[in-house]
Amino acid sequence: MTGRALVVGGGLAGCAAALELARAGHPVRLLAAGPGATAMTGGSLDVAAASPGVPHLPWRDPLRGTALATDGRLGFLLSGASLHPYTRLHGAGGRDELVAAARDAVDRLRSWLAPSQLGVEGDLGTNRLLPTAQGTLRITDHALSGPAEADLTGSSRVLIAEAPGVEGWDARGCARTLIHEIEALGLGPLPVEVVALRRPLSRGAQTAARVAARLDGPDGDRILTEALHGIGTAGEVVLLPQVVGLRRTRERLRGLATGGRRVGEVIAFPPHALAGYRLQCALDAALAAAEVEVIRARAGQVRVDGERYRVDPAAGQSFPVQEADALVLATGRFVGGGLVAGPEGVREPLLGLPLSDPEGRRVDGIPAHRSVRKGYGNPQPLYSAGVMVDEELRPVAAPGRGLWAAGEWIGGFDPARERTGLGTALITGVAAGRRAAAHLDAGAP
Amino acid sequence: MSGATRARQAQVLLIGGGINGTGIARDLALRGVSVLLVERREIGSGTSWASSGMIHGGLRYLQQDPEVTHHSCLDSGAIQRIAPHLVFRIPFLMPIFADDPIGPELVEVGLEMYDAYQPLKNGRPHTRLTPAQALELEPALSDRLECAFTLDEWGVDAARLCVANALDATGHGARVLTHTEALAPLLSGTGEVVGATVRDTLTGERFDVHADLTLNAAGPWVPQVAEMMGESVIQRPGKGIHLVFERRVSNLAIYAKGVDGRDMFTFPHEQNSMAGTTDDDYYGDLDRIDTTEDEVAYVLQAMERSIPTIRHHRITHTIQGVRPTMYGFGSYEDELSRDYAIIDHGREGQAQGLFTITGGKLAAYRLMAEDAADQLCARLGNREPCRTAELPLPGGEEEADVGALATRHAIGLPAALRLAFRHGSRADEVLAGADPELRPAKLVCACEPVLDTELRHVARTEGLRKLSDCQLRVRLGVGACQGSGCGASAAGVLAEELGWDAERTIHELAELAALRWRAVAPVLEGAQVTAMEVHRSVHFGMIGMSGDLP
Repeated sequence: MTGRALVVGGGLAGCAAALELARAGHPVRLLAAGPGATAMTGGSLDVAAASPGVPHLPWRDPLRGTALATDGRLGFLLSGASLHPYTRLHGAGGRDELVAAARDAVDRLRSWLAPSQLGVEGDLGTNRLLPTAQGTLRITDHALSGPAEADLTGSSRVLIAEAPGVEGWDARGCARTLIHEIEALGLGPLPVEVVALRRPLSRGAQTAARVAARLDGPDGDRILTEALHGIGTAGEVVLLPQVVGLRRTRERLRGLATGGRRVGEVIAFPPHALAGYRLQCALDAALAAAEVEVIRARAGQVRVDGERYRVDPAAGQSFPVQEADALVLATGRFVGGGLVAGPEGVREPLLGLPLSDPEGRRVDGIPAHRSVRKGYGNPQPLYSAGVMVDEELRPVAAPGRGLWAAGEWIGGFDPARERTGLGTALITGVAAGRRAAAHLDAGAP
Repeated sequence: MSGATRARQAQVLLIGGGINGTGIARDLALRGVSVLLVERREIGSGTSWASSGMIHGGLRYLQQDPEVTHHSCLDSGAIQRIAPHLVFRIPFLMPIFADDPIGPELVEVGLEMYDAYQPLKNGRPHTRLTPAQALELEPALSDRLECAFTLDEWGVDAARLCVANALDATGHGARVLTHTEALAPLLSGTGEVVGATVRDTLTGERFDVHADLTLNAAGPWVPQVAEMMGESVIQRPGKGIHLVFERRVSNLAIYAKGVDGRDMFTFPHEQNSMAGTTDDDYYGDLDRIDTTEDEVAYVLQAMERSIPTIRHHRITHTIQGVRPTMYGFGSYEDELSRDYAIIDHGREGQAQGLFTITGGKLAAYRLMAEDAADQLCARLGNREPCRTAELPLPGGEEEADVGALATRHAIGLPAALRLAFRHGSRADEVLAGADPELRPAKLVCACEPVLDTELRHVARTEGLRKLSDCQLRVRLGVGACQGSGCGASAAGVLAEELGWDAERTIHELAELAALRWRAVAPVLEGAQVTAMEVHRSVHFGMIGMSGDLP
């Protein structure tokens, strides 16, 4: 007789926890309020956000400008000064243990996404150079299909496709900045050119999502093949905006990689991004395949009764009170609803847990505007705070022994500045799922 | 040309590109006077932009300054004639509560007096409503009300009004230089002011502007400019803030009383609502005016009395500015005169050739400009009459056909409406560069439908110089997204139009982001916290902006 497992949060962290629990043979339910931060990501998946040998660029975070190898970057995140959730994961093995955990988690993710033909490319030892829609270079260790194929390392020429009607896409602007970036990073010689597609992808002015939906239609493959006909030869990379459909991305881009050319997409951001939706859709498909029971509703309050947790629906939501012996909370920050900025200050709505930034500054119970600093570039307590967790990923001050935290809900780091949001979601999600499974295996309650 | 000095000539050098400077530039240019205007930042970026954009008569001023009310109403009518596209009617609703300091009967006496001015500005006379009638009009009103009055006012996009004046001035030969500051006076051998040395703050280029007359129209910076010129002008600067809501809170403007009895209001403005304003003595840094927590609390407390649910509405940001109010001793800020003065420093035995305009109100800008131009022209021996009340401002010539605009250029109706509002009969020119097939007009921002063609148009024909100037020029980044969705796209468009390199482009984007943060941070609550979380991940996480921002 197994105990009941419940995960709250349907982003990468929550899905990872649920899928790990399911793999361990536990029936799992997952409460998901709707697309959150995972669905808004741009296509890179940073585990270490590494940057070996990258010279300092004026608008860049100095952290990225230092010559840290991937391991070095992880080492920095594990250093004594850091409260990054990674510091909770390395156990006795230190950095090597974290690297092993990260590799394992990425393998798990690959297996979940594979049926949707969405790839996770990269490894912790190498950096990928991924161009953004703005032409800046995003240096990351892993990336999802689409942007992953646009990796500039090892390419001989970059061809940026003009797509006049696609909103948020400016091929010439992208090229201008990219040329500058390549020069500043000393990556040359790597010529960059703007090329016209053989046929338009959009009908008049359209959002990238609209174009992608059209390319998911029956004519999509033909339109793409014709549009790219004769563009690019061996060793060259053709860059597109994020329009290559919502489904089968890896296979479609492989199909377009003819004659030794590669076709990839730029990193983009909402509302011009599709990569996050692809990831979310593939995760949802994996949940279905693993027979995770998904309840599409927002959780209200978590109560504890002995060792058993009870999760009520939020106001206006209707589902039966969910009982669990093992509970993983992965509700994210403000976008996901894991933190709420309301009239009574910032709060964690499920349990009313304390929230803290990396310097130990509490932000809960305080109006949001009092937890920000004037300069936009300053570290912002409001955006680096979350719940505090112990070495087991259990939220401190939370009741019971069957509760784990995962993803950006965990405080102590700034996902925007650290750029380790998805990496953290994945690794802590897997870890929390496994701990919850072990707890149930041990006969809890 | 760094280091080199290139001299320029004009009959009149205007210092300051707010509504006074641009209004006077237009007036003078229409009379054939050669004008050079220097604005230290962007057109209208000081007090003009921070105003409520109301071209009202000022019911508030009726008691102390009936002259101001008369002038404002008269000029409001003129502005409606010359810029019909930029002006919109704002019906007001004034709820009366039992604990109001003034009862309905007395209020109605005031409104009856004000009714006499309404025909000057095409306004309707007031009406008195029962609570049921008022609540039917605005269900969010507090049901504690005893009765309510309606009255009629008009609003305008103040920043756009300044630009329209500047454009008409340049169309008639004036030169308007933004991001150019006056550094020092040029003095003749006999000590007369004969222009100024100015500096382009973006290129660093310095040059002399030789002018017969120099007019200081720097708004709240008037005392600083006067001091630079070796003169002294004192003001009683009054800071005012507005809260900007993500969408319209009400259909009508609604009066609210502050805890101190001051009248404030929340009013629909373009696609937002604004609430304000405050009026407090201000002696801080005029170049870094921030809204404070207590100002926000004061305004919200007042609004809550009229609209109890006001705190449920999302505030995206604040705007703040300082009024160049004329000096007065011993009065409360609110009781200071909204009148204006034109100072001929020469006549007062000081610097010959130097004039100053100080005080005043947006609503009466045209009359003030006429007065100033009359005085300058008298000195110059120019006898041309003022024509600013008859000749339309650019775009005000005839009504744009919004439906035809949308069809012809394959753009959405809201985008077409917006262009017609902002550019009037010239909206078609704005879209001239687009081609529905080859180069369709694209949405740059979805908060308000800003098209890339409008950005190109203002860069090509309006002398736009910076991305951050788009906040005023095209209302970019002032919606819910605060520039996270549109800033980067707009920077790309401007880079192409203005030849920016990659470094400059990213710098412009970083600067816009920093400015938006300053506008948002003081009121960061609720859903806007979420929006700014996305904002930060776009800038830091995806584009790769550093913490090292301007």
